[in-house]
Formats: sequence, structure tokens, C-alpha cells
Amino acid sequence: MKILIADDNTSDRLLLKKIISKQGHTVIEAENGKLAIDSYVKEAPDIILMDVLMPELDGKEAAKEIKRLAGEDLIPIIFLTSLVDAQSLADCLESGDDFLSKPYNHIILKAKIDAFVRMRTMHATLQKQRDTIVENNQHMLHEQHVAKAVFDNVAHSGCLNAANIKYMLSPLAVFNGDVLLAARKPSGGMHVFLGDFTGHGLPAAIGAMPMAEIFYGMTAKGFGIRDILREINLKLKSILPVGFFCCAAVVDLSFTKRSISMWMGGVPDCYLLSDAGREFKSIRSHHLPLGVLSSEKFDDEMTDHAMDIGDRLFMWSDGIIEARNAESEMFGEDRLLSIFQRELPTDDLFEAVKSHVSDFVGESERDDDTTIIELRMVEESELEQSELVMEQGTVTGPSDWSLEYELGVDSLKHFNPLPLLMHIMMEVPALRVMSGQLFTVVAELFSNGLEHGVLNLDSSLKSTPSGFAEYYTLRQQRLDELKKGFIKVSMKHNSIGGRSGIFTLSIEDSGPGFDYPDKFVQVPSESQKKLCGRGIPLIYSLCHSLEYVGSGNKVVAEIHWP
Amino acid sequence: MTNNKYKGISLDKASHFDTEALSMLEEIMEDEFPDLIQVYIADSDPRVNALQQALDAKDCTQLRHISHSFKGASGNIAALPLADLCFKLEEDAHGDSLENIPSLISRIDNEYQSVRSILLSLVS
Amino acid sequence: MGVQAEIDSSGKELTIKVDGRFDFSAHQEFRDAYESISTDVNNYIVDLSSTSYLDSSALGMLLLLRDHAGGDNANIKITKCNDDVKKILTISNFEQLFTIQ
Repeated sequence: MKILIADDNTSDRLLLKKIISKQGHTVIEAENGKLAIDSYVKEAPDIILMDVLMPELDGKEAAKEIKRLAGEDLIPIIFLTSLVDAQSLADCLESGDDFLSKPYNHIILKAKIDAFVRMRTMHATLQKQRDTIVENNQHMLHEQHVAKAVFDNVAHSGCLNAANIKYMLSPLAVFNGDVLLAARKPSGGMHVFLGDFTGHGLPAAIGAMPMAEIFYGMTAKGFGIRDILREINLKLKSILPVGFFCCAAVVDLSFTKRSISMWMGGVPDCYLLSDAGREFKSIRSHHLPLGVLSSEKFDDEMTDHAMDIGDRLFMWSDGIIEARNAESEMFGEDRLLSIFQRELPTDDLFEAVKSHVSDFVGESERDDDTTIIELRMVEESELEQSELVMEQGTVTGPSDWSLEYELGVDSLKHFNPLPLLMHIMMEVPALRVMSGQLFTVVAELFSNGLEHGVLNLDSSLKSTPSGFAEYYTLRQQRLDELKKGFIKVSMKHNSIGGRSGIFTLSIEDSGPGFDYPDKFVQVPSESQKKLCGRGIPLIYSLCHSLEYVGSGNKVVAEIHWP
Repeated sequence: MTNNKYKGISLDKASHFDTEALSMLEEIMEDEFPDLIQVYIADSDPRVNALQQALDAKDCTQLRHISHSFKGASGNIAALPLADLCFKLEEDAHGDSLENIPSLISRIDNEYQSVRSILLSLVS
Repeated sequence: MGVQAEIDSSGKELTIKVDGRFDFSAHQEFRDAYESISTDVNNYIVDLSSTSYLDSSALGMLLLLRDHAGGDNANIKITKCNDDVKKILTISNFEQLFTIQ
């Protein structure tokens, strides 16, 4: 170490110099306070031994100036003094770090110097660590800004600014994992999504991006909310590590049907309020959050609720329940509920919730975690004409086309053609919204053709539990043994001016046919109902007509849209 | 022992020094011990006169400063009785009553002469 | 907040107890509790009798345990929850994945 000795007494300096040099340190000397300051500036000693009483500038003043010059660096100053009263010694410690009494004890001096050397090392380490932390922090903040900019481009607010929506979302919400998405559907209506990812910061933001793309992309393409939920769940399950998930409340709002369908997983109860405020309903989560279950186990079941014009739905993330005040109390569900029990005018409720939470949290650290949305049922005409932009890069779909696809024995044994057939059908944008139901119908008709037609199985076998098992064993057996047979699938689509269209699906099997009832149009007879098994309700709502032709080995279904 | 203009100077180390501390000093300073002695004596020789001048000028602040320095240096050289005398002078000078000062200065002068002689004998 | 793990005499049942707030700070300890066991545990008990509060990262930790314990074949019971903790598990419908007593 380099040690500065500031003492006006030559013999004292000499003695100290000797003691300190023997300990292996370098010594510089100063005879008074002013020279001590100059020496500090010029030589940058590590420790200073300073006599208290000196001419020119005394020790204490010199020490103060040196400390000021040192700024946040630590320069230990040990006062040398022959003062003995406690007060004077204590005073030394105001402008210095220690004192050494005369006559000097070389053992004590060595111990003190060593102690200060250790302290300087620790101080320097701390400073370095702090500087590293500051730098890293700045990097992180910068990265977050970039991430936020990317996020905003992907997860843009959609139609959150529509006249029937009020919402509150912190601009930095992406970093607390909260997401609000809203999009108008091409067929009319609206999809709304409130999400709350586990964790905070970039990991939460990263999950939200593919999710927003799926939500906006599929909504714009006309897909139904349940398909969208499946896709999102699948995506999150595959990209998020185990233990990460997204709690969500999802709404499919129909202006024409004056109702909403809801899916809630892991979010707090939301409230549905009638216009006059007289009817209040609390709707709770029935599902696990998104990203937890595999596709097979995922449940896309939704609950329906009527909403008259003026009725409002309030949804929020758990940030609002968990908002804490200075005493670390949570806002809690009871307080939230009490706001709704107060008979305030429904139009004021949103603001009331906001201000109650804000008052409660007060001056304590805001978590910026409060996400709230209010959806009001209105006439769709009240909303701005939305530009229903079809995604760039997707073709609007072929409008008049037909297709024939025949499957022979080998294909029937090993190939499931349904996904392919569905894919082709989904190229008609207007059919996307009923994709789930269409799938069931096609699957039903195809399996009828295969099992009753080609494999000649009798469905009455399925009426008992043991018969059920037997039926499927037989099915597999006959399929394995199949030598001849085919199923021919034909599709035809014609669009009338792009605003409506007719899609025709026919399935013909190589079987002998059966004794079939007449074509039904919209209102089936009793025998016709029996025929269709589990597809009954769907056939009604979906198909304009269903007709068996020929010997009964060909069925033609006609679907009109919109 | 030249320049013995003072009467009754005892050269008994033990009564003028902390002998243990003094040997320790010798040990620490090694071959620079004579230098230390030289420097101490060179610094301290003018001190008694300086004290006298300060007294004549009735300058208490000067009295305190000089006696303080003298005390410190003497303490470091293990001349404890001398240091004590300087301490007494320093304290009295605080009080602003200058009655005892002259006799104190005289005693300091005598004590210093003993100390001086003994130190010189150690290095000759 | 602390995590204690105890394995029974058969070496097949592991009980993990979490004291105080079950949040992100418990992450490492909770994982160590089941990962450091060398015997073949086939039955887990998560004792929340002293747990005052559960947040979403704790839910994540439970999912990690479930994954470690065999996913859909896992045998995990979550026991002695107080009302607050139970509420959080219920809102997330975790009874669909765990036995909650």
C-alpha cells in the first residue's frame, strides 16, 4: 500500500515512516494540511495518517477536503493525536475513520492499517459489483424497450378502442404478463381475450406473442373461438416450459344473438350486469389455464349467457384482487364485490372500480398489475365500420370448384382422409366458422359409408355395452380382411357474388346400399332422426338438406352459407 | 558530556525515560536510530526558547501549540516525564492564567537537558 | 418460508411441507426436495397446513412436480389447505390435475 503521513513534527514522521516501511508499504510525507491535500491529489495514497494539529491547514479540515475530493471512493484517514479526552477523540471520528494515540504503538498501528486495507478491498469489490449491476440493469431496460416495441407490433390492440369496450391496461403490462386482445369477426361479432401469464418480464411477453398472432390471424380468417382456443393451448403447451401457463378469459360476443359464449381458465370470477343493474351474475372459471393440458385432454367447452342491449360484462386479471396497500393488505374479492352491490349507475362502475383500487393502493408501490375490461352489448351498427382486412398472403378462397377423391382398399385400411378433406373445406372462408360442426358431420357420414357400406356392419350391435366392444372388434377384423371396396368423396362449391354460397358434399361407398327414407329439408321425420346417430342436432343446424340417392350407398349433403 | 552549563542534570535513564519503550524504539529504528535522535534534538532545541518568547508575548495559543508538539514528539521518543510536563503546560495555557507557566518552562528546560544528554550518549 | 421433505419408512411416499408464503423464493428448495430423493417414490403428499399463501409461480412448481412424478400417471395429494390457498387452487381448477384434501 501507499501510505501518506501528514505530520508537522519531523521526528514523529521519521518514526512512523520507519514503522510503516518495515511493514512493506510505500511512504509519502507531508508537513501540513495543505501539502497533505496536494499529496493526495498527486500521489493517490491508499491510506492517510494525519496529525490533528498542524500549521497552514489543520488535520480535520484537510481530512474533510480530501474526503470530498475522494467522492464515493473510500480513503481511510487515521488521525494521529496526543489528545486524550474522550470528546476530542470522538471528534476525530467525525472527519476521519480512526485515531492513533501518541506515543505510537507499532503493533496497534499495523493492526489498524491491515484492517483498513481489508476494508478498502471490500469497498472496491462492492463498487465494482454495483457498477456491473447498474450496467446489466441498463442493458435489461434497453432490451425490454425493444421487446415492448416488437410486442406492440404483434399484439396490437385490435379493436379495444371500439365504442362498446372500456379497458385499463398498464402500458408496461406486457412485463407483468397481462394481455388484452380484441378483434371483430368477419362474419359479425367480436372475440375478446384477457390473458395473464405466469411470471413477469420477458418470459411472460414471449409467450404472449405467438398467442396474439394466432388470435388475430385465426379470427380474421373466420375460425371459431373453440378452434382458436385449441390452437393457442397447443402452441403454449409446446413452447412454454412445464410450470408456465396462461390464465385466460375468452369471450365470443354475438351482436345478433345478443349473447356471449365464455371460456375461463384460472382467472377470477367475472361479473355480468344487466343494464338497470338489477340482475347480477358472477361467472367462474371451470377450466385449467392454457398451456397446461395436452390437446387430447384440453376442454374447449364454453358457457353461454344472454346479454341484452346495455348489459355489461366485467373481467379482470388477479392483479386487481392482489393489489396491496402500504400495510400489505390485499384489495380482495370482497371489496370488489361490494362496489357492485352499491347500486351505482352501471355506466359509472368501471371508473368506480378503477378509483377504488387506486385509492386503496395509495402511495405504496404500484404493481401496475391491474387489468380490467368492460364489454357492453350494443347494436353492431353502433360500432365503427371495421375494415375487415383479410390477411395479406392468404387467398380469399376459390369460389367455384369441384373435387372428387376416391379411396381404395389400401387407403381405407391405413389412411384417415378426414384432416385432408377438412383442410380443403376450410379453404372456403365462410365455412371456417363452422369447422368443428362440419368435422362431426363429415366424420359421421364417412364412417357410416365405411362401416355400414363397405364393411357391412350392423349398427344395432352397438346398443349394448358388450355389443359395442364386439362391434369395434369386428370392424377392425373386417377392415384387415378387406379385399375389395372404395369410398368416393365429392365436393362442390359455388359462391353467389361472394356474399353467399352453396357447398355440396357427397359420399359414395361400394356397399349394397339400404332402404332409405326421403330427402329431408330442414325438418327431418322420426325415421330420419334415427338414422343420423349422434350427428342429429348438427345436421339440422348445418345442412340445408340431406339426401340418399341410388341404392342408398350415396349420400348428398348441401350446406348453404351464410 | 560537554556543554554542561546546567547544574544537577541526572543521567539516570530510568528516571527520564520509559526504558522498555526506548529499547523498543531502538529495535524498530535499527540503523536509523541515530537519525531519529538527531532529528528530535534538532527540532526540540529551539522549543524552550520558543516557549519563553510565547510567554513574553503572552500568546497562549502559541504556548499551547508548542507545548503540544513538544509533548507529542517527546512521548514518541519515550521521554515520558518530559512529555507530562509539556502536557501540564498545555493545560495551564488553556486556562489563561500565566502564573505557573514560568516555573513549568524552567522545569521543562531542565528535563529536556537530561533527555538530550542521555539520547546523545546512546548514539555516540 | 421454508420447505421440509420427509420420506416414509417404505421409501415410496414423499411428504413435502411448505411454511409461510409459497412463492417464487421457494423455487429452488421445492425442487431440491423431490429431485434429491434417490429411492423410487411413487406417492407424493404436498402438506400445505402451514402455507399462508400461494401464487402463480407456486402453481407452476406444482406442475413441475407433477411432470417429475410421471405427468398423467402422477400420484399427488395436496393436503390441509387453508381457505385462501384452497380458493386459489379452485380458481385455477387444479383439482382436475391433483387430489386436493
